[in-house]
Amino acid sequence: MKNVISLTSVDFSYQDKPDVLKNISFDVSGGKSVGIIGPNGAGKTTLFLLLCGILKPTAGRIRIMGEDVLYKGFNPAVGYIFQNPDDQLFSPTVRDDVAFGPINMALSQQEIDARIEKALNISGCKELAQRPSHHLSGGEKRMVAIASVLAMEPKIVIYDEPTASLDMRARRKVINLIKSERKTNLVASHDMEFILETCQRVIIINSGKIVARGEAALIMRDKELMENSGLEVPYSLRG
Amino acid sequence: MHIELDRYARLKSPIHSWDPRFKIISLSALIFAFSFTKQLTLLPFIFVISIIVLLLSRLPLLYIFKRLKYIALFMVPMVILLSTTSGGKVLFSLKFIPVYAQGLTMSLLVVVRTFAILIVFFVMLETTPFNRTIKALHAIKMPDKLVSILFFTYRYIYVYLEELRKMRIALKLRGYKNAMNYHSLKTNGGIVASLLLRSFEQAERICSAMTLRGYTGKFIIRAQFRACWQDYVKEFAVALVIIILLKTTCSL
Repeated sequence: MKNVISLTSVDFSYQDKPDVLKNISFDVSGGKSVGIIGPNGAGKTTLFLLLCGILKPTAGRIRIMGEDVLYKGFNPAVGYIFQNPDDQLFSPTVRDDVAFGPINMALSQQEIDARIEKALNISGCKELAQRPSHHLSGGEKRMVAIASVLAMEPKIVIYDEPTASLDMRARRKVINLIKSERKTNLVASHDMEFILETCQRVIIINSGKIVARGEAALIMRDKELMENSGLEVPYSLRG
Repeated sequence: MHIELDRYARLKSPIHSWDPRFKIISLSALIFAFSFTKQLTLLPFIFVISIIVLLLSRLPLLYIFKRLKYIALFMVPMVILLSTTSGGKVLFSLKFIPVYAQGLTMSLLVVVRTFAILIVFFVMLETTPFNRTIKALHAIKMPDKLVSILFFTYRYIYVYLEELRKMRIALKLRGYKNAMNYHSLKTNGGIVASLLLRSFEQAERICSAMTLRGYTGKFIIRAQFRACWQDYVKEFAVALVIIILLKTTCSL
């Protein structure tokens, strides 16, 4: 299948922090889910912000669907679900928030309404539509944040720690949603079982470099590699 | 536990069912008319009007009076100061403190006007969900920037109140007690600084989230308001009160 994400020798430094990412190259083909794993501060969120065009690489090239990523531009083909849903849910009600992206895409009112309904149905948030965002629980906020991105019908969805502080039921909902949506997904998480269940491939990043990549179960079974990268072998893969 | 700006916004009353655009325009005009009143003879009239508006809204009276209680606390020193220092004819003396007629009149005017204005203001704010009020403000052409600020304030005030609540719990669990000393001052300063820094960092992330969803500096608000004949009748009734009030004010 055709590559939808392509990174070639990407470097990135913050003004006060050099070499956050060094020589990052990888491709992701359409419809695949790829886990990005690594310890805290490895550069996972920075990598995602580069893919979205929020940050600009200091060197290298990033292409999404064959096009160079436009720095600070609006690309509805890429949806990014933030680590903290409160960063993403800025509208007073759930419905307003889900509508925000489609409205900015200058769609017709009919299309906007259809997308809102679809996104709320997929994420199981239909009954929350009129609720103020600040009245939602952590799990509900997470699902609404996902709905607000899905309403834009992106081809690629980036999940940054989607299971952080979720209970088992909410976590299962996120897993089912990722598995049911036939999109290209990039998922960063410290929840190794979650990565194993949702992603076919993984990329391990440590200190800004890719240290391993390949089939999820194969890579994550390697105890030495995982421990050297500040990670643990998931319980289900332990002999 | 959430602090709510619009806890009673979903009750059923003639004020609740009023189109928020008409409500904001009419009641704001009424508030202005109240503020122009300078005659003592009109005070009972404006007070009765504000109470009628409050009763029509079916808001719990205790809830509104509780809110007014805090304003009353601020008004007491002002009344004392005005009545005892404004000069003119001495009405009576409390031991060696003179109470002036002019000061007392002014105090009465300020107090009644303030309460009447606040009652109408609370009714205006509490009878529509706040997000709908903001949309109505946008519909009546309030500047975009101001509308955006209101939107964000409404959304994030709860996030920071929750942060503040958690921080206070954390302090309490580590044995902290508020007192009038350097340690308390330093701790409270730290809390404020921490909240400011967190809000600044979060503002950057929110800005990124908005950019990623196509925000280009203008909030596109699509709210549908449909006025019916009852809205016009209510508007007309308030306009009549305003005209009577202003006409009486001018003729007296």
